[in-house]
Amino acid sequence: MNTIIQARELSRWYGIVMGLNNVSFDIGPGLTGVVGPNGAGKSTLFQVITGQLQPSSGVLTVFGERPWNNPQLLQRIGYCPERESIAKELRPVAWLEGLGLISGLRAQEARRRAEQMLEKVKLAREHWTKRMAQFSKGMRQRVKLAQALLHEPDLLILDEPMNGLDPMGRQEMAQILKELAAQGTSIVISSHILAELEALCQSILILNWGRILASGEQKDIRADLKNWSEQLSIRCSDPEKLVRHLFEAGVLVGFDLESADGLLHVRVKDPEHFYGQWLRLLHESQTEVFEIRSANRSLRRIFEKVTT
Amino acid sequence: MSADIDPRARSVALRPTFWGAFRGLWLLAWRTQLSLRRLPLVLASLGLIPILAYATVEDEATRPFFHWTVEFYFLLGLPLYCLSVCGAMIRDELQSDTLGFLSTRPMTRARLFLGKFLCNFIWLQGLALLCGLLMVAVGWTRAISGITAFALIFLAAQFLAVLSYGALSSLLGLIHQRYMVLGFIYGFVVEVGIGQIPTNINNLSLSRHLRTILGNDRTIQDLYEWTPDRTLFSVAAMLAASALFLAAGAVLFTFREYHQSEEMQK
Repeated sequence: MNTIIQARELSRWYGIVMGLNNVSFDIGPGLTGVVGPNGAGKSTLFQVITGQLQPSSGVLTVFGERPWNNPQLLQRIGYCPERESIAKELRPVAWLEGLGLISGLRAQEARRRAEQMLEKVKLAREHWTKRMAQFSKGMRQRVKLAQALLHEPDLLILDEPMNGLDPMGRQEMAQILKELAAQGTSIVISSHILAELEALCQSILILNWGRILASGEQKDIRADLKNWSEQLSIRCSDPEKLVRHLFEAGVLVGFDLESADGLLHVRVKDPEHFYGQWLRLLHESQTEVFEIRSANRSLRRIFEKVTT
Repeated sequence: MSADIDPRARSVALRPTFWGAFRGLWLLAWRTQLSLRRLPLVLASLGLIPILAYATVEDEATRPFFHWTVEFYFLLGLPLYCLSVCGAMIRDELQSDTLGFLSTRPMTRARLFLGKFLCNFIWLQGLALLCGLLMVAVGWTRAISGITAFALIFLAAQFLAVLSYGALSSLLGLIHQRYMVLGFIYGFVVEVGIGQIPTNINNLSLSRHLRTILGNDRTIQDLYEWTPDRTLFSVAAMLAASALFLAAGAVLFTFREYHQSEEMQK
């Protein structure tokens, strides 16, 4: 794997508070999601990647170079910060044009790119002449994304870009990111909306308390969870009979009964083995099953598992 | 494996230069300053002292006029205005959490600092020139003797004052969030204290050099007994001080981290 971002024993602390605690990881091309609760160290990591903070110890490289005070490298990085901080007194085209000029675009090109990017992020043209103080949170997110795309970066760092977007907006944002990734832009994105990261990103990095709890491709992380118990909810004609039979077969690690509703919650030790035996066990128990639901191995579940 | 991955072929050409970046910063600066929220403040700060001077100075009242123009406007109001504008140039970005949009652009932090300073300097010079001309207009209207000869020296000294006080203020703004307090301490210790000591140590004071430059005007000589001795040295000292402040600011901004969370916690 070509590594876009590489961290080795990277730490960053603020006084006695650890932002990142001795983390090592590799991030490759494509879409990578960074997941973690508030205070996990996501924004600190992004600020180190974009050269706004220096590591307290260890090394982080982007495209093989250290980002701090490295303008050459910054030409290849686009950054969209988390907070809805924008130049509120300005209009979006003027703001993007100014930032484009600072990035090294020529005057006409800066103006053209500004308009092009506003179109790309689907900010309605009627808002282009309004001051950004009047913008909704979702509109500000779009403008923030547009400024990150101005100079056509190879790597996009997006800190919670979905915040404040309505469902339609999120879908549009996801589509834009997918298109960018398809065109060869590597994207590192953090979000609290895990289902969206799950659908978007091949790879994830799970952070908590400044440490990396899991990293890699989603399928690999799922494979690592083989030994985790999985919870199933089964609605059936005789829950007590079914649970007794399953328990005797040694496939459960625990259960909860809601006899009145005919509902049985079971925790299965080895899901793959269980599903292999399930039909036979059901047949033997002579119980009629109406519904079976699995708390599937979603990113949310993975996240909950590794952070608890 | 870490790898140097070649950049993709771009559809846009990036040629980051200092002047290109300055154009961008200037575009953002003047549009922000002329926004509806700030414009009333700008106009008020521009017109307040000339209006007060016009209202309180009687015709041919030379001393009260120069009291307003030199002692109040030039030696107090102007440095404080420089402090509030240039001290805030990075702090404002930090407070509103927009510094990241600039510091992640392809230019060194030193260039960013100098570009921001240049924008604020030009803006301040424009305002100070207008304000200075208004003060001179008040002098003409009130038939103050020697106002025409004073005007040229006054405007030239003001140019240097804005440069040096602006550079100092931008450095103070980088040193601490409470740059206004730092500025007052500096003012009392260096300008009011050391600047009045009748030995060479008063060369450390910017206002002492400004007094020397203004001393080239005969009316000022008569009123304040400021002598124009070693005017060129004073001009050179102010230019050197400005360069020193800016260099220190650029170095500080290059090596020190500034981030919003820290700013908000203070």
